Amino acid sequence: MSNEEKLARAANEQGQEYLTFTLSDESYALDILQVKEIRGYEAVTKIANAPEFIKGVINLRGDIVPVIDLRIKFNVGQATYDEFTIVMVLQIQGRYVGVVVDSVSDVVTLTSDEIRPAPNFGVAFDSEYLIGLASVGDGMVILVDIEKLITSDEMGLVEAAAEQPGGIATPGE
Amino acid sequence: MSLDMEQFHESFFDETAEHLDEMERLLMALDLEQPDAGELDSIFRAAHSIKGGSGIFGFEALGTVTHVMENLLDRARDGSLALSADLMDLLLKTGDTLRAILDAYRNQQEPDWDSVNQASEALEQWLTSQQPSTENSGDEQSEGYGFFAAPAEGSNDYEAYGFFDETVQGTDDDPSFGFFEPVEAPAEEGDAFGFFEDETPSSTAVANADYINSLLEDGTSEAAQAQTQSAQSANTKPEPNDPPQAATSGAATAQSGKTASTTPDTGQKNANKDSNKESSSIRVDIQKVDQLINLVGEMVITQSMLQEIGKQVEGATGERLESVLNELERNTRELQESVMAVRMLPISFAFSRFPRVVRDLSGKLGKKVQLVVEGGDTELDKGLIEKLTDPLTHLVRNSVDHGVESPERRREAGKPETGTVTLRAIQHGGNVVVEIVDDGGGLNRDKILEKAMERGIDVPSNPSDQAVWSLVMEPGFSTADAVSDVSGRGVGMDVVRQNLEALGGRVDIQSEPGEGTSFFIHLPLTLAIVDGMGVSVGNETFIVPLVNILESMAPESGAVRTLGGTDQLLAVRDQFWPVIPLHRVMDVDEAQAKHPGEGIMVLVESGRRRFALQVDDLVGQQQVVIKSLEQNYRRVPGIAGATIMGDGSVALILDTEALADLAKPVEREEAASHE
Repeated sequence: MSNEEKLARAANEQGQEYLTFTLSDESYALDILQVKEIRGYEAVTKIANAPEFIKGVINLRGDIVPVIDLRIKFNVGQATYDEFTIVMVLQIQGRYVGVVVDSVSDVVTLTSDEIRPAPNFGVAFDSEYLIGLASVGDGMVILVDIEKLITSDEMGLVEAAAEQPGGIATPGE
Repeated sequence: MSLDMEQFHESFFDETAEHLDEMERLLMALDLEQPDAGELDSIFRAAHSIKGGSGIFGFEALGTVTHVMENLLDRARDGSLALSADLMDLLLKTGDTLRAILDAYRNQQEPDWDSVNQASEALEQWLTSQQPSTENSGDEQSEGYGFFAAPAEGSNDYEAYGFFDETVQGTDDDPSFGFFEPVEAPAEEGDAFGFFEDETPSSTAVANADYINSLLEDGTSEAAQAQTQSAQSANTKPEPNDPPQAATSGAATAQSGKTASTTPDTGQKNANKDSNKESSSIRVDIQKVDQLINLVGEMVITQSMLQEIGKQVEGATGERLESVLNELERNTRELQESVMAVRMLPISFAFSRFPRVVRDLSGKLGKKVQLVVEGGDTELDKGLIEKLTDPLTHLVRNSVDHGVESPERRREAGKPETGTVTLRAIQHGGNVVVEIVDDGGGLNRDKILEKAMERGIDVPSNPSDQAVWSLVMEPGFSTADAVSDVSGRGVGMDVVRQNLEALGGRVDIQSEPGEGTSFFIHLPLTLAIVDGMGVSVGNETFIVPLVNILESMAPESGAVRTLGGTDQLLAVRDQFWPVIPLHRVMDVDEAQAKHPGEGIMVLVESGRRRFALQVDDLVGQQQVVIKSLEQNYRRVPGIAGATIMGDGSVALILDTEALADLAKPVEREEAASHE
């Protein structure tokens, strides 16, 4: 789904629901319809030769699901794991992926009027993966195009992306 | 309309394929001397169902061929057409043609109409060639042409041909003319009888002339033969005409009356059997079944966790809880078994094609071979059965081609001329063993060794028989003296082994000179389960497929030697095995892993690679359910998949073949950095 479509969707009168979460002290939000469930961080099984931000895989009711830590990927805050660490399980293009974040805060409804263009700097994410900014309460949230981010070559989470330069190189290559 | 129908195409194709398989199986099993009426009925019904379906969906080519086939079978089932080996051949070949047509339709291509017409013509010729004998048994049954039978079955669901009434009347007046009329009629109508169009006008003219001549000579029985000629039968087999062909009006009426009266019975019987079949099985998307298996697997884990918690509850409540939890455990286990059983099919699905394979092949090679099939009801995973068919076919063909000797040789060796190939499946714990046993000449040790040298295959000095036999599974090996189109191209046996290993199976060969050769295929019960050895490195647990493990050992001090910096070799009984430290290839923190001398060496053989996998400990042998990593992630080098352990955690299953590839560049890199 392209940005335009997302904006178009958000433009309907009821607005669209977003789930806000934090990485370090920054507040982000993503389309709530892509969130399958939210669970505590549990032991993962490490995957050999994967980049550091891919923590490993977990068992999600019989499915093997990779878990990534955006804090490591974007180098924000400390990647610590305790009983309060949260994993958002997202369903993106039919695939499950777990995303570690510091906390999940709220569900907000935003209409397109409330979303402003994203700045090119100042946040951890490349602006390519951002939809825009919105003010919530007395703060500001950054809307993330999580689908674009997860399926990007940079993440190397899907087969096609991994085979391209910049994806995860297999050892010896 | 076409859109609405297309959604049913797939199930029509599936059903038609099943009908064809069933037909072939029944044809192969048919006793030519005393055919079982029920079986003939079943064959007929199969053809009939295909015809009916193809009519509905407009698959004309299928309908054309099955229509004639059905007529022929109908005559066979009422006893008016003698069964013979030639006829079986023809019917089997027609089955092949139908399969080809089906494939074409399945791939949305236009079927090969030449072969369609050929097939239906061949059947038609058979029908007409049998005409005289049918005429003789005219008391029992109606006349020989397919469409003569049609009206008799009219109350079933045949198309009622308009010309029938006239035909009967014609027969009343003059039996011989009665034949010619219907021949012309369909040609004019351009109905399903396309094959008549070419020949009918001229042949009828000729036949008419013949008929007149023959009439002048000696009456109606000759006329029947003239008619046979007119049909231009290639395999005319005129049987002696017993009573003269006096198909009087009375007889004709009696026939139609008789057939008409029997029809409702058969019709009803068909209906009953069909409905039984429908209600006894349903078609389910395999994904739904897999989802079910997944969920039940999860439930088993949850249940075992619950049981752990239940044990901590004390007092009267604890006791009650325990008994309920035990009940739950039993039910869960049964549920899991039942769900797993859904994917299981009897192996006879894979075996069913082999009587045909052996029959065709032995005929081609001029050998006499009988196939004995045992244990066809042994159940295997559906996916496994599908993938097993090709390797099995190769092995069976191989046994017939190379195993069983020619009849002369067998006579000389004092064996019965007819060789026996036995196909047997036995369930053995969590495995199924499929055996392909022949009573042929056995493998020739010297010849194999000689060939192996010639082909440059590594042969250990003074190898055991077992080692020699396994050479035939090496790539590029073939002992056939002449390359035939049956086997002997030297590709195959190694592919067979590869394919079977990909299924988690392995092949053992036994052979006694002069007594025969046996291939034993050991397979897991399902594709989804692998027998594995749990190994630990640091905090991680991995699964090594048991099929790749030769042995495990704690190396003696000094058995591990270092070569060129980092490469290590393990000396085992005078052989050197390259050591692959698992913690290195699987990126486990080296500080946690044990020193080579302290750990366990697992000797692994995979394809043509052998190496010693260095791990910390063996966790234990267990059957694990293979889960895909690619479903949500991607392929990982050196990893075949993942599995869920009893405590709910994920363990990775190693791909030993890829592991060897993975280790090499790493080692080279590190060696280079040391220089």
